[in-house]
Amino acid sequence: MLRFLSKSRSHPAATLIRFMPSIDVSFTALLYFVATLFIGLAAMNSQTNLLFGVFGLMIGVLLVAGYISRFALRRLRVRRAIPDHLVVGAFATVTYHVANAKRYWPSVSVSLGELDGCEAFTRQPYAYLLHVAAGLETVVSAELIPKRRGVHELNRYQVSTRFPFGFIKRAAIYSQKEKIVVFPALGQVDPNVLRLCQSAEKAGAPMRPRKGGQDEFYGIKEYRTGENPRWIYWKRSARTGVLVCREMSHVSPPRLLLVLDTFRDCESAHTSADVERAIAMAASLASSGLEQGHPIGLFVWSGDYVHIPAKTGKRQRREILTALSVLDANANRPLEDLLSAAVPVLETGTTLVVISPQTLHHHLLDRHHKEIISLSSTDANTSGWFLFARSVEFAHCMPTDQESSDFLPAPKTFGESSRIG
Amino acid sequence: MYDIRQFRPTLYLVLLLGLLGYGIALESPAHFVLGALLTMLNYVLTRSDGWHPIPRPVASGLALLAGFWSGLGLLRNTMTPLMAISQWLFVLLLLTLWTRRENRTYGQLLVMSLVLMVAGAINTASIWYGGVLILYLLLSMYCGLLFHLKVDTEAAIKLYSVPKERVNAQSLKHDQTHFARSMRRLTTLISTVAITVAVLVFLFFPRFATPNMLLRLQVAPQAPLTGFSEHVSFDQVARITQNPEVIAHVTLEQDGKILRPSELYLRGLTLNIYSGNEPSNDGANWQWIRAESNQNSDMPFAEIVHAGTDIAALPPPPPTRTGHSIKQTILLKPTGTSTLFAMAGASAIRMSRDTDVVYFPGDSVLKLVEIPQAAVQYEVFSTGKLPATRPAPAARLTPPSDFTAEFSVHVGRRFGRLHRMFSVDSEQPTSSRIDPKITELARRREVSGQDEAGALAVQRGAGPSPHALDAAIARNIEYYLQSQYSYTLDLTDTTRKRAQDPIVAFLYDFKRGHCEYFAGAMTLLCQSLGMEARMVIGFRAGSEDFNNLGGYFVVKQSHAHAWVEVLTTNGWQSFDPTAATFYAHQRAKGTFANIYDFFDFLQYKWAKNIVSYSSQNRDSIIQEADDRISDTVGGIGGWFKRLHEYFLGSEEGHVVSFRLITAAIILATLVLPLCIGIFLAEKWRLYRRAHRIGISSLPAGDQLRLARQLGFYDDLLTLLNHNNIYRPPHWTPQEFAYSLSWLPADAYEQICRLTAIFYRVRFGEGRITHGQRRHLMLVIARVAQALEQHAGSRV
Repeated sequence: MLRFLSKSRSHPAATLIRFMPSIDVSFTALLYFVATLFIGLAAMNSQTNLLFGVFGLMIGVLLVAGYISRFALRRLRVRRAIPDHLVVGAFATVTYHVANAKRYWPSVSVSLGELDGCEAFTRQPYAYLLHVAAGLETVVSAELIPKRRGVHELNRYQVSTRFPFGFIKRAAIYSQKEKIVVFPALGQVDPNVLRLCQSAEKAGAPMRPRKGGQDEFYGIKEYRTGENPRWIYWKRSARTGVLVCREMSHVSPPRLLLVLDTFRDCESAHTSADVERAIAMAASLASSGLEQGHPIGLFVWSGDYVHIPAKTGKRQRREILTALSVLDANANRPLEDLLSAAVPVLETGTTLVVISPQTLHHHLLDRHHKEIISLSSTDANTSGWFLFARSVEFAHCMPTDQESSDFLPAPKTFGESSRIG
Repeated sequence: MYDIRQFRPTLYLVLLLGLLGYGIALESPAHFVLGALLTMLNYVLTRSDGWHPIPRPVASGLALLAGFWSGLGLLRNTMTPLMAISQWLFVLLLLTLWTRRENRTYGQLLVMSLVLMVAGAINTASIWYGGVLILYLLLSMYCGLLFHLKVDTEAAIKLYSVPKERVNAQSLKHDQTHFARSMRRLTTLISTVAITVAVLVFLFFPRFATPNMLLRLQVAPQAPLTGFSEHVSFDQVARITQNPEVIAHVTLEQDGKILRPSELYLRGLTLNIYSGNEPSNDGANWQWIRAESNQNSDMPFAEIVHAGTDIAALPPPPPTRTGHSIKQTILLKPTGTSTLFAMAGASAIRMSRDTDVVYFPGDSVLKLVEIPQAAVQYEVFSTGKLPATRPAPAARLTPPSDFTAEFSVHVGRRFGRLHRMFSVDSEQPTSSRIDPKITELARRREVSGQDEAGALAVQRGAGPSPHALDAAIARNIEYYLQSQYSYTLDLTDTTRKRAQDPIVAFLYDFKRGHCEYFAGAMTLLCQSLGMEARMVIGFRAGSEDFNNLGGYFVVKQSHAHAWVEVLTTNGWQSFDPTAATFYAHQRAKGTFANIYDFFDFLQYKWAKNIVSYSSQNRDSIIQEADDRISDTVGGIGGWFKRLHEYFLGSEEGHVVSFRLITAAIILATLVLPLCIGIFLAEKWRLYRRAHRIGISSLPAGDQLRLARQLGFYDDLLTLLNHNNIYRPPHWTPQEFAYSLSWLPADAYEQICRLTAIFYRVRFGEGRITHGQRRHLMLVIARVAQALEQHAGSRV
């Protein structure tokens, strides 16, 4: 029988894992068995032949239920397809491609549940497949919400069925080792933040006009086939006899270097939550800025100093978010050290954006004589510029090994269910 | 998620079948009509939006009321316990149907319906019920499967799965297309296995001797038998209504051949004492009672025969049990009495169930120890004649010392009841009280007859019985009654003085009556002359009651009859004094006789082979199977033995075996290289094909596999080559297909289709079955035809 060893969650972040033994008998089966015995007894007592037939039929149903539940899982080929990356707090879908290699018999009422890597999600990835016909393939999806950033490994998953009558439960374990990256939570970023970044530096390279925009006249160039004819400078073309077109300019977007402070001076849950919020703010800012075309880089400590120079593009976004998702716990490098290390690598025309769980002191900023934008995850004003989904719990967003001791998961229980933090 | 829409209609169909079965079992159409109307109304209403369930308190109150009503019926003994429960369940089922809709409710409905069917199975032997039961079980199995899927699907949606609006479209389409077919296959498998097991359990599960060991399970009280009764009384009986219900099926065989006599008399009980105007034990006057016919006889009054294992010989032993005896296979429905029926002169009996039979040798009457609640099947061997010897005086039954150890196991528990059955009331009259008017009538010449020497009654005098003239006198009395009196079942227009003997009234005043009047009158007329006579009650069937399809007599309750046995010098002889109008009345047969015979035949087969299946049948099946297996194994073993002896034991065998071995070696020497050659040629052909298709760069295994699968594409290329269309080596198949748009539209489309299949097999891991390959060959043939027409038109 499917049993959860404990109905109450040992701690709020625990993920309940449904694990079934390879064969089990349900309570319905016991009831049915009792009913069968009752019919058998009635048949023997009354010596009614029809009841002997009904009795035999009920035994037959019990036998065939055991057999069908066994072969429903045979020759079932399952392939898991996971997305390239996931984001904490955002819905994601894992699809299972289930192919039934049996020649004649279908597989019905099949459940699929992940066993490994479930700690990354708010609940066990679980999918239900009503039926897959003989010799065909179908797709079934499981919706999940990641709750922890980092790289998680999905390996074993369980395929089970209670068909045909829910009497006997059978389960088989499949393996398909795959790693999945969960980015930190990405929230909506207030446009004021980027505007602030733009206004941080008033002169120099960031303000230099660049061609390619539509703001002001930049120059004239020869017209090439395929360019918009709207930009053809007809007067000059008529005068020279060669088609020329205007080139317009636009202001260079600000280049930002996000300096992320992940220093934790104590192991408290509160501090961890602030650090995670700071990471999520950095990720959100990077993602939002890169989507708007800003060159953005990252400087952070993760076992060693990690510096990703400011660039634009999707690849840059992915690199930054991946770096943020696998950040180690930082108990050695406070913000002062981080800034000291970041300033030398700071390129010209790049604005320093410091994101920290602490409130920055002026003396610290003045020491570096730079235009620095500081965003604190503990400050209500600055953290209010980032709007995260309600499902995101920053106290449990970190990888399991970084979770503070007062939120450590309950020890893994053996049996049919277990909880993994 | 796919909506399991098949569930609700199936559930309602199951409920309707359950109600129909229950109605049939209870023989109450009202139950079915009421239940079916409410169920169908509920189905229609629940499909619309206007349906509101009955409030739970109201439903609970109604359920309590129904329970109270059933309990009251139980207390008043108008219902059996099982019937009270089933009636309550019936009401509960309908109430549940009209309450709120949940999966739990559906489960309850299915269980209650099944319990009703089980209750019905205990109560009826009808083939109609059997048919409904089989259909019900199959359909309920399908319904159970759908119900399980419904519960699982809803649980999955509720707990984990994707919401309805975000269901994968491919998965949904897959379910819509294939779900019904898959369920049909699974239901067929489950039904086949379950039915096979059911048949095996039905055939081989051990049966016990005595039913109702723990509890008497009976849904409806046994309907009283209106035709046959162990008591014959003329007091206050003015009108008899006939019941056409079938009570027994009787097959007669002699020397392995089916007999079809013009009339069949099945003896039940004999009654030899007429109580007259004195009230008997049950307070009724003018009653015929069964007295101890062999008091002071050497033979026991009654004998218990354990007839469970083999044919039991009944005294006196028949001279030829299977020779000229008539074997009667009788399937008897419950009659409300323990009497068994058989032709005269029963000499051996075999019960289908392991039950005990009581034999009364004095008058050859057979009885069961208990009144049966279900149909009984038995075989009786009868000589057709009653024993010629007159029973000698003997002792009465002296329980319990007469019970042997073996019998005490079987019947000792019920000894009290047996003792009551055999005990004789000491105040019971020992001879009939005969009115003098009857004696006076019997002595008349026109009644008892006369010859040259004068009236036969006078000649006979009061001598001991049997007398040489007894047979003639009895024949004359029989003829007199048949010719002078008429048969009727309705005596409501006659009036009789309360103190007047009904037989006297019949003989002198009414001169009409039913068979009991005729038999009673003849018995008393004979007894008044000092002859030994008794009334026999049982059944009489005529040739019109013979079912040609099944070769058996159909005995109905309306065939209940009474006749007379008189002791003559040739033994007991039967006489039937009832007027001929009785037979004319019985001979009426409907227009649809053949149809009726057919349905009756089905019912008989069902009752004989299913309802009355017993341990005897089971043993014989096992024995037969054992014999056949032994014969087969023995036959195969003997065949091998003979073969072995032939080859090794004889000179000729040696020569033959040497030649055979030589031929086999030569054949192998020829065939093996041939097979290897064919194998290599096939492989070479596949490699060539792989090269032509353009997959020669793949590993050898993949080449061979794809070359087998993609044979159709090679054929297509060959066909195009014949038409001077060549694929450039640097073109992909798709580019090549698109380049053929100048071909006729039909051919172009087919080539594109074949190319798409090529891609599916080559890159999509698709597989082509043998049937699909044949279909593709047809497509290529159509392309060839189109190309041929195209070439013709260009020329």
